[in-house]
Amino acid sequence: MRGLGIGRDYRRPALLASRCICSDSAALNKMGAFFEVIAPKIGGVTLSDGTAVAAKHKIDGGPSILFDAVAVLPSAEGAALLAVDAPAKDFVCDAFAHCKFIGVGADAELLFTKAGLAEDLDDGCLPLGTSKDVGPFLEACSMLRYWPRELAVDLDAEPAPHD
Amino acid sequence: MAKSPRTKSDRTQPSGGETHQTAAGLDTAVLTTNHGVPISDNQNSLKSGTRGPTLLEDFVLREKIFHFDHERIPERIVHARGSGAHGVFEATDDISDLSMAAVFTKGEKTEVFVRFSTVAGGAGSVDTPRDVRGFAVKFYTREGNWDLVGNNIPVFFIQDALKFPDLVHAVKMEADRGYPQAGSAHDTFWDWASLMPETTHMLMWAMSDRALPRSFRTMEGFGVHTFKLVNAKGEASFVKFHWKPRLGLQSTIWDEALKLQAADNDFQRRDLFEAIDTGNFPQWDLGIQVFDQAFADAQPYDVLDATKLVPEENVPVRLIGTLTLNRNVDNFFAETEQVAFLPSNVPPGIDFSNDPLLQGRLFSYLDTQNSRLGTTNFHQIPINAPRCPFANFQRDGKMQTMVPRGRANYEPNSLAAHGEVGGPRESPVTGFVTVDAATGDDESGEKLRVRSETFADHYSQARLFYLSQTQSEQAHIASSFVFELSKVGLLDQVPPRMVANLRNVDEDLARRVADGLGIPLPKKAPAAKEPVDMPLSDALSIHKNMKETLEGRAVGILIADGTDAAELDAVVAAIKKAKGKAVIVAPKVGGAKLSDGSVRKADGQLAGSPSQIFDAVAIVLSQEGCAALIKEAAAVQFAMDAFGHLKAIGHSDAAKPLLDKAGIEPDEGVTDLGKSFMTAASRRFYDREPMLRTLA
Repeated sequence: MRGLGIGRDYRRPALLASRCICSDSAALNKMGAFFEVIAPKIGGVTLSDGTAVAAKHKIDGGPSILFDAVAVLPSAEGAALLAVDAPAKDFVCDAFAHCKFIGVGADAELLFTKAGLAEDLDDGCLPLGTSKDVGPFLEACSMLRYWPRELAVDLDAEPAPHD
Repeated sequence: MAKSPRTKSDRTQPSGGETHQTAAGLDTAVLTTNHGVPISDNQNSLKSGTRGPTLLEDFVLREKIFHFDHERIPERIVHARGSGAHGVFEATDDISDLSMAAVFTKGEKTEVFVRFSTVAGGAGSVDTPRDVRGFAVKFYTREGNWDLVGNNIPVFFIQDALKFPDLVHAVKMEADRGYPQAGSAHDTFWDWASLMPETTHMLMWAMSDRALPRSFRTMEGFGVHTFKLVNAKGEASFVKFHWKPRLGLQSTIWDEALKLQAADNDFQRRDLFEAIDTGNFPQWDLGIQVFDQAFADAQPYDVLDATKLVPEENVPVRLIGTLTLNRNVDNFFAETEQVAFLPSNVPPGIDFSNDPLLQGRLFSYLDTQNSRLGTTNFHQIPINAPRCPFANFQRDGKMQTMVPRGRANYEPNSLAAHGEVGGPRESPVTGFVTVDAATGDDESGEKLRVRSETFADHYSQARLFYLSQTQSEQAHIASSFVFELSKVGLLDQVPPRMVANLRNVDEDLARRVADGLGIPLPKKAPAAKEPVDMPLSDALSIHKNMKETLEGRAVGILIADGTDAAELDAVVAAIKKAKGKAVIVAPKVGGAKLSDGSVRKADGQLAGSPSQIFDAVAIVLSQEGCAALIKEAAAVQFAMDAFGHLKAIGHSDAAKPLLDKAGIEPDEGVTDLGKSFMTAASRRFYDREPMLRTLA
């Protein structure tokens, strides 16, 4: 199914999970997009409800450059773990610098703070705190990139000065 | 005959506005076909009318396209990606008691060609994958070519050449999908390797930082096999060959190697070329470990087994000469691509052992060169031809370029007695004589397709290697196993089987890898032979053999408009004084306007010069410059990666907010721009790593 432009299967949202709630997987599938779960270990994570989810990638083997959008869904404990892991920080820094839409889980803040992004989060960074947030996030993802951000992350994006 | 509608002079006028560069008025040769016919127009094919079809008779077009279509030759099945250079080998020690080879005569200078390579990737693949590096040296000795075709790792994956095609099929891109390129982190490699306990020692090296050399100039080379040295009396000794880099050992870490793939596919090729181009000639000392049969018999391993090394602590490496690379190739294809190495090329004084991997290589290389170069006459290509006279009765063949005179293409003959050229003859005195004695038990006898029991210890030296590493290096090995096995889709079988093997190496390593994978610790695999504990060897560690120096290393200096000119000049001067290379990086390659109003040109634009290409960085910014760069992701990443790659970061006071933005926590390696930076820049800060990266 093709939903809101995200239906092409080469567009790959990624879920960076560490004891996360990934209730939006069903919604993604429904839209015809595909997603891959990234976790600190390939063996996966145990979610808050006790279920185990296998990972497709270990963090350093699944950097955000491979994906069209990312959702960062750690628990508070998971965020603390990821906040001292350079590949996890690269994951969010690169997604941000590459103007991708970022779903920010309710307990993800520490990772963004340690990655130097906490004060920079913009309209391309959408909350993913509750299941109600999933729809707007996926809708945003269908736009693929949040280009207004480029001015904030790339000096070359500024138009040439006029004399 | 109809008159030509255009005069000769008209034909040089570009009626379609195309560019014509003509020989007239230029001090240059006239363009011709391959057969010498001058060409009048290199822009237009011959057509019927100005807009009509191209004519078949256009031999200029046909020859040009024909030649172009055939420019590529088959790439090497392994070691396709290579970089070469010319140089000289000077023998510095008298070993005539061990070998009669002229190349080892003290003071003898021998022309050499060296080719470094990765193993798995194709010719156009990247320079910095996790992979073994080839280190092949062709010595053009006055007694014929000696090719020492080695690697930067002293052991190999397999014991018998019969397994070579299986190894290479498993590690190269998978047969159906055609990926991954240039990497072992995939199903088929680990499926195969986990079923082959004899690979375990090599896997330790391949998962270590040895497989991530920073530069060809900072890696060791090894002849891998046991060879023999033979003296004038015909007495043989066993020998292992080593190349020791003058700059010491240095490797990258995995994240840095990955980011180098993005920043510069040709990182090591460029490094080699630029070093030679700027007169910083790379050097290695040739070392030998010499031992006799009694020593070999007393070891808990078989010296004919290519998965084993001889610890340097048991047999010290004696330095006998120096290799200096002093000239870049003039043409990559003619030299680096067409060079044909043959382990079977040995001069009198060097001989083979019965290592079954070496024995197979003696055939394989000759055979493969014919496949690549298309003719048995590949030895006539200038890069392959001996520099000493050579003559025999081999004749003809494709691409024969020599013109033998006379009728003497057979032997014996009496043509010379009749006043004709009679040709060369054998020389029992100066010719190559194979050492006749068997050098150990079971080296001759019945025809047996069996593996010697003396090859059955698969784990002792893997354990020796692992336990000889620093804490940081052990963490890198464990993490590499985790990374690679995390890329394996055959999760049920392969990672547990690999970890089961690792339990024979070291229980702690096995636990770390299992934990990093998030799998239960599997049952220990049975060992063909129980491993033994060997005395640890510091020579196996990179970190224990690094030099604290800036020589041969590059420091990236990030500047922007407003940077203090005096501060910048002082840093550049200090780096140069320490024999380092100072590379100025700015948001624009045109440069930055410094505090004194002058403009300093940049060596590289920021986006194209990320910190992974440097060994240390200095961030020299004014308040204004820092405020601008905080809004530039590439600048933040520059600092963040330098920190993450355990490099020294020197910075001006005003640059502090950029470091804060990058999450840099001050430590010993984060300094001001004074003397402490120069000290810090000559090393890496491995202690930093556990604070910023989850290692297994």
